[in-house]
Amino acid sequence: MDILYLLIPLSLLLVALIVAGAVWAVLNGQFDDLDSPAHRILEDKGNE
Amino acid sequence: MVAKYPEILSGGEVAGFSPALAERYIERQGENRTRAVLSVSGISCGGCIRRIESQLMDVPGLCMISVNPVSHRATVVFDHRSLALEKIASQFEAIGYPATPYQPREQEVRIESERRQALLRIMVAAALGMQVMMIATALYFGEAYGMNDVLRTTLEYVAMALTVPIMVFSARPFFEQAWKNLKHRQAGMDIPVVLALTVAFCGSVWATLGHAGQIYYESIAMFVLLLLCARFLELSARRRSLGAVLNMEKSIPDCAIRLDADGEPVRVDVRELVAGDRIVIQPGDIILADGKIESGRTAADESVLTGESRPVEKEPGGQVVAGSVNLESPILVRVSAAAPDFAVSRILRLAETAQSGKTRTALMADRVASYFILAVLALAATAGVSWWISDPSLWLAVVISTLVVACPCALSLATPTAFVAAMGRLSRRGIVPMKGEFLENIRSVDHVVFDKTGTLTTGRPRLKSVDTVQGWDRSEALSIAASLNRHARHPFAEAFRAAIEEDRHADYREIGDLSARTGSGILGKVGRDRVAIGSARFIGELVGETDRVFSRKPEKGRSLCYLACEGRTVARFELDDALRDDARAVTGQLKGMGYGLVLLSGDSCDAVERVAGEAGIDDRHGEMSPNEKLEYVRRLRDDGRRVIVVGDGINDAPMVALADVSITMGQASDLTRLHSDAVLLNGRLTGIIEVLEVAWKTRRIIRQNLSWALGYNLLAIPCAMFGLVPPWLAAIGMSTSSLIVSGNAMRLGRARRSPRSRAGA
Repeated sequence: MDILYLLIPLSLLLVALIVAGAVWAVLNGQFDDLDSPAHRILEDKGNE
Repeated sequence: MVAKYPEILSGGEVAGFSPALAERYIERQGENRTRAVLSVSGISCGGCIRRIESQLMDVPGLCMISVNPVSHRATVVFDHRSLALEKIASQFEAIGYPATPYQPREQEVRIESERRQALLRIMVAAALGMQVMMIATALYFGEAYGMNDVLRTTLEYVAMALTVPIMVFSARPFFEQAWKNLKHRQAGMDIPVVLALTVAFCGSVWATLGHAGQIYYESIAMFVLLLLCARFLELSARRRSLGAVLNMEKSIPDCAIRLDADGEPVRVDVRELVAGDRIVIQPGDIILADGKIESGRTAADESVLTGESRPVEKEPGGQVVAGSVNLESPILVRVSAAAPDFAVSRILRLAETAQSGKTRTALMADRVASYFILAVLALAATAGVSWWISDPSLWLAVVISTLVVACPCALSLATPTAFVAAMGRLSRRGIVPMKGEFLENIRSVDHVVFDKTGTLTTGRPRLKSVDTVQGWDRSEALSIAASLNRHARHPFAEAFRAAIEEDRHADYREIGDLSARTGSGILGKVGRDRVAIGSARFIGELVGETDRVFSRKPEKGRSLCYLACEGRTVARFELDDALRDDARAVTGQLKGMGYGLVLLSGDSCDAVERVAGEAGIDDRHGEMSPNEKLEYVRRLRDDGRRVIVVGDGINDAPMVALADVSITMGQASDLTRLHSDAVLLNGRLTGIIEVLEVAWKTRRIIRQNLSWALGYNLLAIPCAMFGLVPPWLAAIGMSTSSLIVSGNAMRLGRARRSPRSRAGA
């Protein structure tokens, strides 16, 4: 079971990455408007 | 005194912005790029958004545009050197979607940042909590199948390290709230939460450090995550309803329309006004500064100064006071003193809607909950002490279980969730609730008072027939009538403009010397002939005779308008305001439910008689002034009746303020709507029935929720005190109970049609 001593720090690293990603997404406003994109996909043409 | 048409009294929409005002709505993004947000009305589908975006992209100087389909706000980035904000707004208007520059309200900014914070806390709690949970599983198995001490201790330390951020960051709002409660000596529901968290965490750390006891890190993580999620949902509901209310505002509250030296209207910030400025005040707007009326005749609501909501008549030359409300018709005011601060703050306060504010039932639930919390704290302490004496190894688990299992969430959630769900359902059906408590007040109501024009009727009169004297034909009379009414704001004017479009022989004429007498008629000149259009009384006073010159008698119940030319009456127009399609069905249903119906109107008794007859209302009163309407409602209330007022006009405003519950139609002015309890945005009277149904359903749900919460606690607390509930089970029990309560409330959100009588609910 010694492998756990490697896997636990790895899992902690993963968690740190997840949290960092989530924080980045929230502070970047990715969650501010959850409605527009859902509607935009129904439009026939892209915006640009 | 007469006023010049059309610039002064109808020019509000086309006015530009003063530089200082425009500055408030734009955000400089570098040398030539500027960002602004506009609130757009008229969007009904994704197609509209597509149309707006593609059509406006062609406007030179506009770099980027994006429209949010839910909040109906457009974000534009443009070059401010070649394009002005009002130019963009007028482009929106030109393609059929009127837009107003939008500045987020303080409330909204606060909710937005709270929401980001809450999301962060949830994410941290979820990500770390998952790891803690995994470690807990390993430890459970270790307990059962054996695990070496080093590994166990390592896992426990890792779990502790992961729980620290949850306690410090994610659970922080609970600690803050509990501290606030303590400072104010209140027993809020965050106190047991914080106690349970602290006790559980300290106990676990103690155990981790090698002393006796259990660890509860996974219970802590789960508990925090569930509580955060519940609060996030509540916050989202609040954000949605606030957005819906703010979107209805068509005008900018603290903005005045000032006429510059050439008589051109410009929109300015209230704080820019100085003595000597001339400002236009539309009906329904707040009078923004002290001053003297230069033209226009109206009534003002000065209740802010006198406390009396009875309208005060205002004539040209009369004084108006900042902070009062213009009720009847547009006026031109010469400002005598700059807008005082209190008036400005009052305007802003009015615009900050009454969204917050707990309902009475919720307040009562909170009070009950606070006693309940004190009782739980006492019980937990008792249980802890008794277990300490009898079996010291278990006392911590029992205390935590008791605190967690009894978490009064269910009790506190019982009422607000039901209201949030009910309001959400109403919003989806085109009924915007402005205040929560009306759902409580509406249950005791026994009378419904209707206004006529615009409420029971469509408010869009149509021209039914034209009688002319010898030598005049229909098209000729219609041409002149419509030309006189070309820029007028009266609902009848609309009817003439619609009629001239349909008559191929009629066309707009050049009108000279145009002047209006508010509420009576309009004067002007066609070529060298003096012409006038107006009510029977106005034309009668002007030329002496009205109906006698026509051979045919007008049909009963129609509104009449007369055209005079060179001192004699030449044409009579019959106008008719059709009943709304659903009016009869609604009045019938309300009668069936046992409500007393009343129709109060300022229109002629004849017209009122006809509409009341069609709608089946026996208790009807015509030719009533806003004052008499107010008195009537007051009398009803003095007799112990509880009244719903359904109205639309600014002249209904006093009555609306007095009623137990007021419902206004969507086209009412901003101010009337802000004062009412609910707005029927879709303009369908069936909304009233729906509101009543939802109110009764809400009450039933609240009762169910409260009895569930009480029953659950009566059962769970004794079990926890006797040590029958381990902490993890307590956390599950608590959250299940909260979920059941919220889920039950969400049933309100589902729209199922089931007409119900009042007695049966």
